[in-house]
Amino acid sequence: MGGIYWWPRAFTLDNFRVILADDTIVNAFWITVGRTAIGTAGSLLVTSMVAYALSRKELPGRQQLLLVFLFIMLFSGGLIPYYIQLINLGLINNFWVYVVPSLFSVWNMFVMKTSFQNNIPESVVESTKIDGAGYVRIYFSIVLPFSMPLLAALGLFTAVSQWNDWFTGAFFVNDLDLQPLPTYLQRVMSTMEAGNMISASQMTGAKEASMYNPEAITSKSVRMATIVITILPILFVYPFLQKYFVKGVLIGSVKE
Amino acid sequence: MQRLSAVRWKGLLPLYFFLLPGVVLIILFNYIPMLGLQIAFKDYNFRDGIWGSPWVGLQNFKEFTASADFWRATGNTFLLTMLRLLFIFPTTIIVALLINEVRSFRFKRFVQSLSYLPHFISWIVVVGFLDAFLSIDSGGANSLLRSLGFEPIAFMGSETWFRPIFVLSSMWKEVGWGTILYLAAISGINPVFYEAAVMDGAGRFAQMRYITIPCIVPIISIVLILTVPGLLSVGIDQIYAMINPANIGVAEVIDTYVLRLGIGQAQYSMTAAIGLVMSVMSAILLILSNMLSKRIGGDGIW
Repeated sequence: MGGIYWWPRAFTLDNFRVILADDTIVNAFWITVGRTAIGTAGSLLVTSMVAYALSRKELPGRQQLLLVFLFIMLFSGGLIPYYIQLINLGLINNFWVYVVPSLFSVWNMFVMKTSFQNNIPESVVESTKIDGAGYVRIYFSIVLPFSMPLLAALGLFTAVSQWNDWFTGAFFVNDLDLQPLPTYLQRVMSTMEAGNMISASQMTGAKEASMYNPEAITSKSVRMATIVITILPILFVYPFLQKYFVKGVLIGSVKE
Repeated sequence: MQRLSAVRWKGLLPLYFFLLPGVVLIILFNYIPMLGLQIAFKDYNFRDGIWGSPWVGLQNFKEFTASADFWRATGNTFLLTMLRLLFIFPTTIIVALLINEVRSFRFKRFVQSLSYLPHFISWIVVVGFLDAFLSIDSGGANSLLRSLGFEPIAFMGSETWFRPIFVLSSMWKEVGWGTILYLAAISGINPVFYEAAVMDGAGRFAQMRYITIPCIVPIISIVLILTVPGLLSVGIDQIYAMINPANIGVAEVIDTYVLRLGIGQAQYSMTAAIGLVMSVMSAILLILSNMLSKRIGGDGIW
């Protein structure tokens, strides 16, 4: 027998024990949780605030601002000037690089703005105004509560992209203690890739050494365990929240 | 008159306060980087900064257009986006039609949930699965090959296998998610059409052929048009996770080329020039495709 099986012969939690003993992964997990929570809450707040202001037709300069926002959906400075700007702002190697640049989403803003205009009955807004409520009050007691399903859907998308983002960690953060899980996984994989290349070039049709190298097998299992930890939260919440995901994509793409 | 406008201004202040964080962020992360694009025409160095570095005219542009690596990356970008379009676009429509034919509501729900799921899994994880499945020493694919008496294949480190793996993994990840739009369009079709067709003796297949497909043609054309701006970018996540020294010849695309030279080798000015060209071209493509979709579907994205 070649030592290869389609299905593991024995289940073990040892890999998870190895992982949980590794501070880097545990730390990466909390970094990921933290950035997802702060990033999502912050993005919903900032984006909905802008969307609310721009949904009020009495705001002077509204059309001009909408054009300014629309322009960046068409055109961007590209990666390198953005990178230099991050350096200038001191955001390289800084936890806040995960959160701050993505606090405002132009796309979500346009979706929210349209929804605030179309789905919140103007009569309710008017009657609250007559009762003496100002803009801030209307935002918190009418606009936000009325828009909960939309905010939930957009928030889920933001949370998933925050959770899955490896790019920021890989290119803008060098500090291993600040890396989120997907970046950690990506680093592990590219180091293993190098190992794979070597074993591939050594292939001569015979059994290669790495197959029996216990260290290689362990690191492979550890990597699979990291993968499990990375997707577990998504697998866990997905069945309950799937309808919000679908609602979210339909809000953004199908006009009534 | 003067006083009135002052009062009005004061009343609107809270709204401007709401705008403030968003506007500041846009200036910091979108508009200042656009000003930073001038380094495409400069010889950027850290000491002098963006404004102080010397102008070099079009030298950076000449440099990258003279590079064979750049043209290889451009060719790969177009080839991969075209392959994706060719295989994934029709598959998505077919899968949507198939899901629509499922009669049991529960089973339909189940299939849909299952097919949407991969969309939410990061490419890094997907490639991790691929690696585990296709790995040369312990992957399932190669152990099957071995047991059938074939030589094992280094799938992930091979130029030949890169494109099929690229297309199949994109398919697995995105086809289910892509069906949402079509399914929504299908569910919006007036049932009267189907009833009339049944009266005329149409079977399931004839209904699909003469009602469902014609009714989703507008959506199909819009989706097709909207893929045009994406032709310049494959999506960095997938490629970056799949690329390695053995397949770089077919796997390197413009995005990874910019990363490798720009951030990896600190060639800021040259890669900013590439970025500028790409931004302008994709903005043009976006405007064109919006015009097209307005002309054809009667409805653009703005």
